[in-house]
Amino acid sequence: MSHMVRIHRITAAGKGAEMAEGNGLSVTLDAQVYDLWAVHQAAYRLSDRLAIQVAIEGSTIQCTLYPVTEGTNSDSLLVARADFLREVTDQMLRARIREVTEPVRNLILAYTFSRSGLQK
Amino acid sequence: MLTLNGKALAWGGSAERTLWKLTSNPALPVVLREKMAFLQRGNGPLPQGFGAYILPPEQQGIPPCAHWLHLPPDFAYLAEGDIISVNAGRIRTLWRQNSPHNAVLLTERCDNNCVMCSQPPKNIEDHWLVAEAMDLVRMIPPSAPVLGFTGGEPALLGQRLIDLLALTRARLPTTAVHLLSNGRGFADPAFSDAYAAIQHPDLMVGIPLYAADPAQHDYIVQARGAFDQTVRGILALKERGQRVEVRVVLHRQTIEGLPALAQFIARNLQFIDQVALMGLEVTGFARANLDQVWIDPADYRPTLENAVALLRDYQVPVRIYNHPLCLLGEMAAQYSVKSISDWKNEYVAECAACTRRQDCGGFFSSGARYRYSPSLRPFL
Amino acid sequence: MTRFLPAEDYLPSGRYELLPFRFERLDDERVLLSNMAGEALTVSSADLTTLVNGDLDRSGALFSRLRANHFLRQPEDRAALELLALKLRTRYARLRDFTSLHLFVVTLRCDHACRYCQVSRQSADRASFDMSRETADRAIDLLFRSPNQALKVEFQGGEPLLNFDLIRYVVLSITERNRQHKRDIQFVITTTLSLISDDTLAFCREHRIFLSASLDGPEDLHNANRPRPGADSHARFVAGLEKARDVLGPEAVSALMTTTAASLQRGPGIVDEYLRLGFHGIFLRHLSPYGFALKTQSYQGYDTARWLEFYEETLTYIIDLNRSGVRFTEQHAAIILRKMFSCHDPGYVDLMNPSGAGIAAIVFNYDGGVFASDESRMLMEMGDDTFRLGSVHEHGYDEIFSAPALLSALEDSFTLSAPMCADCACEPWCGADPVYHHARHGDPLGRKAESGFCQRMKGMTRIFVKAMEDPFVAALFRRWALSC
Ligand code: SF4
Ligand code: SF4
Ligand code: SF4
Repeated sequence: MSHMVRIHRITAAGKGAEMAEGNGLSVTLDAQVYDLWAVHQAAYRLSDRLAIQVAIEGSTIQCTLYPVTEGTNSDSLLVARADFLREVTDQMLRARIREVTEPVRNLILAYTFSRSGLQK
Repeated sequence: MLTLNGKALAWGGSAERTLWKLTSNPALPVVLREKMAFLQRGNGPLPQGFGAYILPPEQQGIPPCAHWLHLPPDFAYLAEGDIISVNAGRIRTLWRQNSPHNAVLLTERCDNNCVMCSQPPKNIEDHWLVAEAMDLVRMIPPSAPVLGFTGGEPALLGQRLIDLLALTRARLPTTAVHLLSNGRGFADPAFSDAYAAIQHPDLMVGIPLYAADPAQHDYIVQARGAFDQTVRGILALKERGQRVEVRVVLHRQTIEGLPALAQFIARNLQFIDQVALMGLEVTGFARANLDQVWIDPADYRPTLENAVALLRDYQVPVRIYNHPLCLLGEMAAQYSVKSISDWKNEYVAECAACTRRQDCGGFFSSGARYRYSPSLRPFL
Repeated sequence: MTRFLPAEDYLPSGRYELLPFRFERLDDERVLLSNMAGEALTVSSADLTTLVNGDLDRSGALFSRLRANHFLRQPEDRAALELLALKLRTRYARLRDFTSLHLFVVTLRCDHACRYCQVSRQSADRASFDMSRETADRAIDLLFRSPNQALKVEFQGGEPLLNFDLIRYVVLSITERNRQHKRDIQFVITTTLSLISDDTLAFCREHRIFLSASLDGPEDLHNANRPRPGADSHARFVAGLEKARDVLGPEAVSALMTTTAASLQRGPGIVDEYLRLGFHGIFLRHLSPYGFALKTQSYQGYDTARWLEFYEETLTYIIDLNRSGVRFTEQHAAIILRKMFSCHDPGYVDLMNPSGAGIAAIVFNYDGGVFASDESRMLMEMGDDTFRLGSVHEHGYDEIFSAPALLSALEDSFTLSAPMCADCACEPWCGADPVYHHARHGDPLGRKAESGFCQRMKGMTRIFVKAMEDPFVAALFRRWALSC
C-alpha cells in the first residue's frame, strides 16, 4: 500500500460530508438507516482507493475517508465519497438479498447434496 | 389424409367390438383362418372358414360367415397384415403393417386443454380404449419396428398404462415404442418409479414444453401449475434413466418465447434425448382458435434459426417435423426431418413442381386444407 | 365449444420470492446479476431496486425473464429449486472429474533467455539442472496414485528438448506401466520448437505427443521478447512449426503468447501473426508476477487497467475477424465464458474454485521438489517455498497431498466464503488462485479490492457483457464457450 497524502482543505459539497479535522473527508450516516456491517463491506471494497475510518457517535456512524493513492485531489476525493455512499447502499441491498434468500439457499443446497444420479 | 375412422356401407354379424387382422391370402391354412378377416380385393369367389370378411361394396352374394362388412372406398388402402377394430359397423384402423407411423389412442381424457390441441380432450369414460390397445399389442407382429401410444393424456391411466407398457415390452421386445404425454403425471415419484421399473429397452416419451416462462406455458395448456409439474416430470424421468423428447409446436403463442425456451432447455434440460420442433396441425382447437395460433412460418424464420443454432451449440439433439422446407432458414433446414406421421402429411398445389418434395417435411394435411403459408417457394 | 381463459388469468398472484443472486454494477445505468448456477442477466439499476422490494410487475417481460432464469420464483414453483440444485450438482461433480495435470520439469537449462522468464538457466551443467531418471521414477509412482482417470503429462523446462532422453524415458515407462493402470493419458511437451528434430517428431508421432509452443507475435516482437544466440527464435519457431505439422498433423501444435509491455500496442498484429501461421485461436495472457518477470520489473511494465485496454482492443479485433467470416477464438475468453454459458468448468488451473493448485495440477521439479502449481515453483525460484509440498525423495503420496501448505491454501482461498467474493456477481466464473495472491499480498486470499487478479476478472466480465449486447457477439461467444 502506498503512502497517505495530505490533501488541502476542500470545500465539501452536499450534505453529510465535510472536511474532517485532519486530512480526510468525513461522511455522517444515520445509524438507524445504515448498517455498520454494510459500511465495513463498502470500506473493504474501496480499499484500493480509500482508507476509511469508522466510528459510532451516538445515533450516527462517522466515516472518515482518506485517499491511499498519491496525487488524489479534492475532486477525485469527492467522487470517491459519492462512490462510497453508493457502495454502502449497494451493500445494504446485498445484505437484504442475502437475508431474504437465506432459507431458500439452504433448501437448494440441501437438494443439491441429498440427491444423486442426474447430472448433465 | 388417410381416413382412419369410418362406417361400413353395410355389415352383418355380432355388434360386439372385435379386432381383426386382415389377409388376402386365400391359401391360408384352414386352422389359421378363424382368427383372421379375409380382405377381398375384387369381385370373386370367397374362400371358406375365415372369421370375418371385409368386402368391396360391389361384392355380390352372401359371405360364408356371419361377420362381414362392405368397406367404404376411403379405406381402400387397407392391406395384408393391417389390423382394424369393428364395432357395429364402425371401422377404425389400428395398425397398418407397412407404415412406420402407427399411433394408438389410449384415452381422450387430458388434464391439459391446449389452445391448439389437435385432439381436443373429452371428459368421458373410455377405459375400453386401453383394453383394446392391450388386445392390439397381442396381435401386432413382434417384427414391428415402431409403435406409438398417444392420448389425451395416457398417464391418467395410471397403472393401466404401466400394464400396457409391460405387456408391450413382453410381446414386442424389439419394437421401439414412442409415448406422447404432457409429463405431469411423472412428477409423482411413485408413478415414474413404476414406469422406470418396466425397464423397456427402447421406449421414449415425448413431452410438450411451450415456454420458459411458467405463466405462458400454463396459458397455452390452459392449466395452472402445469409447467411446474411437467418440468418435474421430465426431471423425474431423466433421474431414472428414461428417454425423453421435448416437443414444441410452433405457433403464434410459442414463437415469441422460443429463444428463451431454447435457452431454458439448453441450460436446464441439456440431458434430454431430443427436442422436436413441429409445424402446427390446423385441426381441433387450433382450427377453432386459428387467429390466436396461426403465424406464417415465413415470419418466424429468423427466430427459429436462432433457437436451432442455440440448441446445436449446446449439443442438444434437435429435429424439425412437419414443416415446409422452403420456409426454413439454412440452418434449420439441416435439422428438418421428413415427417412425424405419413397419414397426416400432405403437399399443396404450389409444391407440384418442387424438386425437394422428397426431403420436405410438408405439412399436416389439415394445414393444406384450412391455412398454409402464402410464402411457399418451391425449389425449382 | 370449450372456453379458453386469457393469458392474464395465468399470471401468478401473491408475493414472489427472491432466489439467491448477486449483483455488480456495470455502469451508472445497468447492473449485472448472476444466480447460484452462474447464469447472468443485465437489468437497469431501478429495476434492481424494484425487484428486491418485491414490487416487480407480474405481467412484464422482466418478471418473466427473471422467473424463467431462476432469479425469483413463486412459492409454488418447485421445479425452480430442483433445477438450481441440479445445476449446482453438475458444477460440483465436474470439479471432481477434471483432467489432472502432472508437470515434469525435466530441465532448467534453456537455449533462450526470455525477458520475462521465471526459471531458465543458461548453463551446460546437466548434473545440476536436469531431472534424473531416479527422480522421474518416483514422480511416476506418485502420478499413478492420482485418483483421476484422465491424466495429462506435460514436460516443461527450461527447454525440455535439451533433456529429451529423459522425456523418452518417462513416456516409455508411463506407457508401459499404464498397460495395467489403463488411465487415459495425454502427453504434451512445452517447447519453443527451436531444437525440434526429426527424431523427436517421430517419437512424438509414435506416442501421440502434443506440442505446446510459444509465439509472442510478429518476428521483431517475438525476437525482442525471446533472445537467443543468433536472434533467430521466430525463424526457428516457424520452421519447427511446419516440420511438426508435416509429421504430427495440423492440430498437434498449439501456441501460447505472453503479453509484455512491448505487446500492448500491437494486439491486432499479434493476432494476424497467429492467423498467418495457421492457428485458429490465441490465448491472450498477461504476465504473471513471478520470477524474473518480477525481478526485472518488466511485470511492472503495465498494470491491470492497461492490460485490460489491450485485451479489449485485441478481442474486438478478433470479433471483427469472425464477423468477416474467419473463425478465430480467443481462448482466455472461452474459458471464462464457458462458465457463464454452462455449469461446466473447463478446469483451467488458474481459474478454478476451489483452487486447482495441487488438485488439478501437480509439479515435479527437476530436483524432485513437488509443487502445487507451476507458479509455486517459480515462487520457489525467488526464494519463497510456501507452496513446496515436499520432495519425491523424502515424502510419500499422503504426506504430499495433505501438506499443510496445500490444505490451508485451498481452504483459505475458497471464494464462496471470502470477503468481497462472497458477494461478487463474478464469483461463479472466477477462480481462487492462492499462489498469485500469496505472491502479491502475502496471503492466499489476498485483498481483492487491490488484487490485479480480481480487477482482471471483473474487467473481462464487463468487456464480455458489453460486447454481448451485439447478438452476433453473443452467438459467437456462446460457440466459443461451448466448444472449448
Ligand atoms: S414447395 Fe417444396 S419445400 Fe415448399 S412445402 Fe412444398 S414441397 Fe415443401
Ligand atoms: S524459452 Fe521458456 S524456459 Fe526458455 S527462457 Fe524462454 S520462457 Fe524461459
Ligand atoms: S476475486 Fe474478485 S472477481 Fe473474483 S470472485 Fe472475488 S471479488 Fe469477484
